[in-house]
Amino acid sequence: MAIGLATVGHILIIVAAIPSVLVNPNGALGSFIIGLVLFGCGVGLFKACISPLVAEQYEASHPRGYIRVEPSGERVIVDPGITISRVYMRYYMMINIGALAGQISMVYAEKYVGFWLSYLLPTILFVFCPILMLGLSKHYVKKPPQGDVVGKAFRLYGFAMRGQWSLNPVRTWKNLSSPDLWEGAKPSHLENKPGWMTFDDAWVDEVKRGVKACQVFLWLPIFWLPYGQVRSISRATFYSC
Amino acid sequence: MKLGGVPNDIVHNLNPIALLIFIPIFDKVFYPQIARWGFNFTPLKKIQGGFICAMLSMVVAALLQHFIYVKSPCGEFASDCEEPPNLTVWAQTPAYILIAFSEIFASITGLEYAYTKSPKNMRSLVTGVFWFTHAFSSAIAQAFVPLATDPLLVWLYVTIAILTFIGWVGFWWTFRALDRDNDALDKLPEGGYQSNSAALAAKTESVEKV
Repeated sequence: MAIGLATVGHILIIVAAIPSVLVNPNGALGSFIIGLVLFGCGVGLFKACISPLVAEQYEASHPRGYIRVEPSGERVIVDPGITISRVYMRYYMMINIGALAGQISMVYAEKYVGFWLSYLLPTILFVFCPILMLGLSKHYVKKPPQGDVVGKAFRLYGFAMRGQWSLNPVRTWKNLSSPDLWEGAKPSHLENKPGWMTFDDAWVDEVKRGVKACQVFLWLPIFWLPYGQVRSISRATFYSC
Repeated sequence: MKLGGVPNDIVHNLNPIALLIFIPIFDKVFYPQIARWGFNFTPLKKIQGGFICAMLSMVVAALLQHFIYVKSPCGEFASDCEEPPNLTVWAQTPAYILIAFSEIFASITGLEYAYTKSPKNMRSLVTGVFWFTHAFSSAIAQAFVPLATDPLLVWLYVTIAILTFIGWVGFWWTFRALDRDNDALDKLPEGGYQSNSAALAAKTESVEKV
């Protein structure tokens, strides 16, 4: 799924990068806005796919924990959960190396040459990205996209919630947050399994856990607020420098 | 603020610089040490750590802005002042370091949470939901723009620190049970899933066999 969407994201970003090259101090605002919107769409798709893709590369080679014997004879348990945390730490580190190099080089390109160069530099680098991905694609572990999975997950959630609604909002809330909500939607508990249920009980549990994860994310906008403000501390104080 | 010979770009990029310094420290020293102490630092606890560091960084920002107002020759209208307040730019560093901590705790962990807790065939979608919260928050931040001006900046940071505190308490309260179940959830087996076409193909095959 990741690679398919990422490719679309790449194409969109390249399309977006072309108009953005046109943006020089005299360039049309319109082309900039269209470029920005397309770029936003591309980045949106790309960002959602790239980190799972990176982590899947590791998971494919080490699906389970294993015991590694050190040269000293010490036996070390390699836990996949901890390793995935590490993969994500390093992935984030790489993004920030890029962010730092990009921001500093763009500032100087703009200062000494002009905006066109500071937009052109990342564009040139970006063109390498799909070339690299296509060139190396046979070395990547890819998961084919499963087109209907999102639809089925929503249908499953809807199915599980059926009959749990009530005019009393408290009761509805209680029913919907009950741990048993998903039990009734497991294919093995149904006498006549509907035709669209082409999955097993374990997948229902996975969807249940995924929905919980999304509920966790519902709180994150509050977390991002201070994050956005820290960038503006300097704005407010720097303009006074 | 006084630059004191520091290039402006260094100060603007304190956030990625702080991340480059602290990610390896967290990775190699801090997290392993916590594990050695036997503390199960679950993803939800890390995200709570992120809320706390983000809140502290807003507290630092509010204090800093207060001192800028006190020290600036123009008082509460420091931003448009010709003469900078007598403070070094490095005074902002703690706010950047704290926000870098909060990113390591909450942002990296959030991505990891999206990956490990979603069904194996829906990982990108859930990661997308994670990033969507960032975009949504930028929209909420627009509501604070009227506060982002002299002499209200101190109140802007204080308001957001309070909101983040409420967010942290709410987050902890809501997900107490989920946090307890963390390890069990990680051990869920992978579900079997067939797309419609695969299911149809399997059905046809079994019919043909009969």
